[in-house]
Amino acid sequence: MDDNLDRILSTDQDIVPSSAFVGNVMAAVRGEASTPAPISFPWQRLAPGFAICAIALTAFLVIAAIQFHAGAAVTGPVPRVFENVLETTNRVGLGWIAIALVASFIPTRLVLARN
Amino acid sequence: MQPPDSRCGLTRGETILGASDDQVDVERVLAGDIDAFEFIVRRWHRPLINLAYRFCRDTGRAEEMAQEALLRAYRALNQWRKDAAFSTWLFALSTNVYRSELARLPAKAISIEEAGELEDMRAADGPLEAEDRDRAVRKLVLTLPTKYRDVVVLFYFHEMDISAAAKSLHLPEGTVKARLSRARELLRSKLPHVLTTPKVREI
Repeated sequence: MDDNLDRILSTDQDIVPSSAFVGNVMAAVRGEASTPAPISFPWQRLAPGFAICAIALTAFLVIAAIQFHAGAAVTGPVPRVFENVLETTNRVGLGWIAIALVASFIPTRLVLARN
Repeated sequence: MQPPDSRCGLTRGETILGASDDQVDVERVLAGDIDAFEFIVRRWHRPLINLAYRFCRDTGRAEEMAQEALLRAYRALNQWRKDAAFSTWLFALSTNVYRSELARLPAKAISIEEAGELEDMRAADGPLEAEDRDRAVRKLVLTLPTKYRDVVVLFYFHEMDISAAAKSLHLPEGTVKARLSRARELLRSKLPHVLTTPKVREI
């Protein structure tokens, strides 16, 4: 161990806080305490949306499985089963639902994380 | 964790009382008595400001960082698990705040004049003004890579207590020892004429 280095770094001069420091901290703390608590994320209200999304996803998978087992032939570069699934998806607007859910979920999470 | 010492103007006897005082004040704050937090601030602000100062070497900024640390401590007071001393928790939290602040806005780099002084010291054969040399060495710590700087700052702040430094940094003691050793090598390589040759000895 370097005694000289130890001596220099362990004898660092202390600084004296300004007289207003404690008052400033307490003002900030009181300001913080008087600020209303952030509104919690409405998970319960969002639950139906998640349920719809889960049902739609399940329906998507079920339709895909049925189409696959029905022997949908691979007729081109894209298997027919996927074409059918995409048609069904478009018909019920599943894509838009998913996009809307993701678009609302991500910014909400970002705001919550920041707070 | 090191209890408050002469840095915050408390005697050893007051230190022993301080631990239970902290718990009482924390419980009061959590029960809604915000004014009780002022006792915590008064008890700990000096060591927290001085720790911040060692990270940035700027009095004004040290106070700002310490204020932020105390505000974060207030917000997170209910997260203090009483299995560790309040001071251990507070210093670890503050260290995190200081490191984040310095990552966001690094401490002022050594100026050209100061760099010149350091170069002079490098080449100097004669005795240096002790105060200037010591100040330069302390400033040089801030030029170390972050992981070495943090270990050096915490180790000497905690009066060369490896365990306390390790707790503040949430690192194993072995890691702290290894980084400290490397940091010393780096400092010695920067100022070979100022710092004596190391003796092989256990920390």
